[in-house]
Amino acid sequence: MWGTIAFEDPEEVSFTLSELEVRIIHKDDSYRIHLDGNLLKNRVGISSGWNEVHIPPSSALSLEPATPDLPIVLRPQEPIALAPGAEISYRVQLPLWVRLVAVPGRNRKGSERDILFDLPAQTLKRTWFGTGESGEIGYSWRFLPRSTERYQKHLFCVPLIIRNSSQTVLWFERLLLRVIHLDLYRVARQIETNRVTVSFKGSEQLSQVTFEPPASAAQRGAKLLSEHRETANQDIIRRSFLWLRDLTT
Amino acid sequence: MAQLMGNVRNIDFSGLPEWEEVAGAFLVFFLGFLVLRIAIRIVMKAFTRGMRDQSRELLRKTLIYVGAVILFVMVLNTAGVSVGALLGAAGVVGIAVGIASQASLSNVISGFFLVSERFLEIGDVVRIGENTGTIASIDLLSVKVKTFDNILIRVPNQRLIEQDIFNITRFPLRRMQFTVIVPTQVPLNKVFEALETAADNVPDILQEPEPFIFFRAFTENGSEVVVGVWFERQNFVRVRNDMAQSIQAVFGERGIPIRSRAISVIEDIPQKSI
Repeated sequence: MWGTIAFEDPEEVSFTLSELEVRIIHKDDSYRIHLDGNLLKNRVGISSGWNEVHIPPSSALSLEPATPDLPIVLRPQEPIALAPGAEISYRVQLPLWVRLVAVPGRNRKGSERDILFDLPAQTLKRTWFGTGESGEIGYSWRFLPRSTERYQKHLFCVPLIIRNSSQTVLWFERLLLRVIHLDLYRVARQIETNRVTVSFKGSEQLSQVTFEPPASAAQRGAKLLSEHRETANQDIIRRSFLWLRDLTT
Repeated sequence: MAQLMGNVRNIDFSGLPEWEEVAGAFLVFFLGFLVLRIAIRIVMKAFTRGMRDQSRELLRKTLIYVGAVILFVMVLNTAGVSVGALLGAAGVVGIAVGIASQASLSNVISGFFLVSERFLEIGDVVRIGENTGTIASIDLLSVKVKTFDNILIRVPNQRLIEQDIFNITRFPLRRMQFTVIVPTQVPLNKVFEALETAADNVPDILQEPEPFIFFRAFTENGSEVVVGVWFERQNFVRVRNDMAQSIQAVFGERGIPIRSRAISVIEDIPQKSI
């Protein structure tokens, strides 16, 4: 479903991805886009119902997957303890965002792509990562670390490695995953991101986060589907873990 | 008439500046004015990155006032006016003005404390007395507050420093409480569950800090239960409306009646014959 949308006779395309329902009708030089669902509530720009869109004749509409627009606060179903030196690896599945993009044709100057909408495929609950005075807003996501990976069209997979490089036991209750720095690749049927390694450093719950292309990219013929929303340094030391006591103090 | 003409002829013009000096003073004024504007712009661009709005405004005003005084002295010097004598006179005038404007001075000093306390920032939503609005500016003499019905209120700094000010948007998160009254017969665990679901159904209500629910009291109207939810400060109106709708919807689905505090008068009480 991803890539340039081909309109054939009848010039209508529709798709459903989890809670997001989209219908696009191409007529003459305009597009009529119909969106359904609660996902559009309180969003600026495109609204639920019919929207009329005009793009230059040489441009085409393209559908792109994207990562959520805010960090994800991962909460395992049950707290996990990591002894010093221990390492665990997960494949966390998160809901995709969908972008409708007007891709400029060859005749148009510049290569600016216009994003017509950027919506989640599933309603995500907002949450706070930090204290009452300072912190970061994100989306809350519970995951089952030991669950078997199940392919679902509206989910993408983050290969995640958590390493305890400190001298203390890490009680992993929440992890802030900055998905805005991740690229999306197609690996076989699944959409996968860069491999994320979070190395817990102990003091003040700071951690070193590294992003690498999927380990299997070369072997499995991974194809880049969409680039990260925001660029990150290769190695960033950020506050990534939060323990329950931080929220209660 | 002849006497008047004689008096005019007797006036001594030697103390006044020559036209070259006047022209020089004008030149210094225009050039100085230009240089001052450019200098302020450069300083503001170079040093105010990451500064708070009112600190930036304070620095800008300080630069303008200091620059204006220096420019004024330079213009007078170029025009050949003795600055020393003028400053002496200004001292006397200053004392007189100072005595006459004690209230203004106290406002200026209060303004200084207000800024140094860092309690208010431009753009903060505050409640001062009965008025709630956004801080539009923090000036030397007063703070201007723009209310939500688009009225600009000027509050003198001295008055501001003496009263309670509520800064509503200081922290990124806020909490909102809803009190629900249900008939006493309804099991409380059902009410708690319904409120949890209602909060969970509103995406703008934060998952963490978690909503808290507590039983307040059995009253003549029924059981009073309170739910407190956390949200990002800018979503106040949306959360208020969405949560109220969500409570109505969930309670409606589960058949839990919501009561108001109104007293209902039951008319069919059997009458006793006397």
